[in-house]
Amino acid sequence: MSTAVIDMNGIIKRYYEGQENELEILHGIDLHVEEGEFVSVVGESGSGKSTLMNIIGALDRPSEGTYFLGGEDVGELDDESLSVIRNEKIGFVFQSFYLMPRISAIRNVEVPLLYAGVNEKERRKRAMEQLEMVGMADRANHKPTELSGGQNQRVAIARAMVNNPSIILADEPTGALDSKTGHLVMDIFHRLHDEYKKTIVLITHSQELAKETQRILTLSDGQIVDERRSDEF
Amino acid sequence: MNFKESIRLSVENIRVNRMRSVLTMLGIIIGISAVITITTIGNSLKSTISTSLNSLGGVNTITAYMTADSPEDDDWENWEYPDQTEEDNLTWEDISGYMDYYEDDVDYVVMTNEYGTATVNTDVGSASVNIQGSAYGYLDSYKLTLLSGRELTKADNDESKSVCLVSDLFVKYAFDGKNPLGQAVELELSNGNIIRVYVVGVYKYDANVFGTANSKVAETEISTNIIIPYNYIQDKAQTEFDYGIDYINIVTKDGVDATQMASLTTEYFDTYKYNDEDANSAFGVETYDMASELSSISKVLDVITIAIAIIASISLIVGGVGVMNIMLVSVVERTREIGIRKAMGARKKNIHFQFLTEATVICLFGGLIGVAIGIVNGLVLSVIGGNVLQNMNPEISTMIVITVRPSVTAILVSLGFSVIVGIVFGLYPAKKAADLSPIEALRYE
Repeated sequence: MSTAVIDMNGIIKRYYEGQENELEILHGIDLHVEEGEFVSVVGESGSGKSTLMNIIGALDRPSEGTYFLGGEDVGELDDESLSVIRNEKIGFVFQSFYLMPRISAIRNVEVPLLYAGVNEKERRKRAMEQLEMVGMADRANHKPTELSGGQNQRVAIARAMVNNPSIILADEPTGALDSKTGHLVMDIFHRLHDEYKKTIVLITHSQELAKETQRILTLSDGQIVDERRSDEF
Repeated sequence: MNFKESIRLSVENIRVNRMRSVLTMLGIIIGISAVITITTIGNSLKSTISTSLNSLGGVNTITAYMTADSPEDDDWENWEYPDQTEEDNLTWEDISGYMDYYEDDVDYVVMTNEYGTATVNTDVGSASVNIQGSAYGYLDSYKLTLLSGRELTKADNDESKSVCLVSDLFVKYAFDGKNPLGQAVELELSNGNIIRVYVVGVYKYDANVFGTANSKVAETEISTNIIIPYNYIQDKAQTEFDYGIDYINIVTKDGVDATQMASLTTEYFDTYKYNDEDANSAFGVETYDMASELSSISKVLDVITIAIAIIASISLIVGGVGVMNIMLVSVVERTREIGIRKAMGARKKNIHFQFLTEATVICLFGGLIGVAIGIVNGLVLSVIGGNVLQNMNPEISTMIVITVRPSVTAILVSLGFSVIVGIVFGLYPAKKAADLSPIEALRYE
């Protein structure tokens, strides 16, 4: 009995299935992430990184293979159930933040709770707690357009954390930031890992960032070609 | 997602795209305001007619007159007016019997018979009069004001008293404006009889009631009514053949359905008078009542109003297409937002609901603005229309009481309809938004 939060076996992803231009992006990925682990997936662009992230994040279904997320078979679920999985089990952090520009920081953070059916008062309270955690409480009522890139990413992290997900899935979270701000953001991920015992999957093309995590998986041409613990460097 | 947040987001989106939203709403605004304008005018016309008629004598008045029954199967070609004898005449006794029978329903009966005109000459002047016989309640039923003395009473009629009511105009020319109460007036009737009646009351001559307002006739030429108890004048004015009472106005008590009372009246006289024993059953009493006239006018107006309103509401469909168009644009513009929401766990139905709410809120906003414009338009046009009507008919202008009234039903139905338009035309864009794949939506630039 494993305590794997992510348990993927033989994941294959094909596009345009059954058509002439059928394209296989992932050729059988096995991925196991234990609870509380901080893992990175490294790969050049075109390596299948994004496709893998979409499947881990329950945004997409694998063509073949099994994927258990927190013990639940995600491969077989319909769109509605995938929405619930994304809402309850996954916290996304994207390269370009993906905050909604017209609403304030705190209302952005509240969005996952909105779909979880949490009432307004509770939403506000929990969103504020997360903003405090990332040090953005004093900017709660600012809109994303009034904040810097680093500040926006901190708000996005607060949003990822707000519904207490099983995993945080970060896709190039420092990609749009300068290196100093990028380090500050990475510090927050380390804190989530160390203090809050979160399971984190970091997807990046940067070896530098990957070295900060516990385990590095290298993806190339749709296959995991290398796996090592960071202390092996 | 909860309802409140959806509404809030919709209102925010409308505010952000203010100009675009107003332009989108324009179709709805025009449609709804047209419908409300028309129904307001229709409703105002209806209430103007009913208040005007009410002020004239009202919906609790039934006019009844004796006439021959219509032929069976409406076979007018082989029909002849039946022979009429004096037995068939409607008499004051008949009316008294009827009033006793329906004393709980009938307030009073006004009866006015005309006996021609005469010129009254006195020591100080002269004036011409129309001689009228009335039981009682004359001034009341014509809404005339008593200036001095008293109204004719039931006793005056029952006892055939030689008394009369005259107008202030008559007093001005025949009595040189001096107090006429108790003075005798001599009249020559058309059968040659000369009668002396004593003035017991003076009423204020009202040009509107007698239809002489704005007429070019000089004041001295105006013939005013002299009212004498019916029993007295009927007796004095007898001719060889008498046709009895021409018509009566039955005033029902408050709360009595005049239309129903009208048919009871016809039945009463068929049973108790025109039954072939007391009088020829080929005759009867026909009635005419304001209430049923009013309701048929209302029905016609309703049909016209609804027909025009339906035509006007076609523009709502056009407006709805505009809303659908802008919602489709909005879905494309907010593809990224939809992707983010889906990544955060929004289900199809959440996205669907959000866009449907937005389309509905736009239409409801447009509907509210349309209702406001429509009410203002309708009221202004009703007042203008009323004034035009008054100017076209100066002699009855004061009888036209302009009452403006927006139709509450139309307002509620219109708002309901704009919500429905929002839902119907929002469905397709909302489905389009809800069906977006989260990955593609997120990747959308």
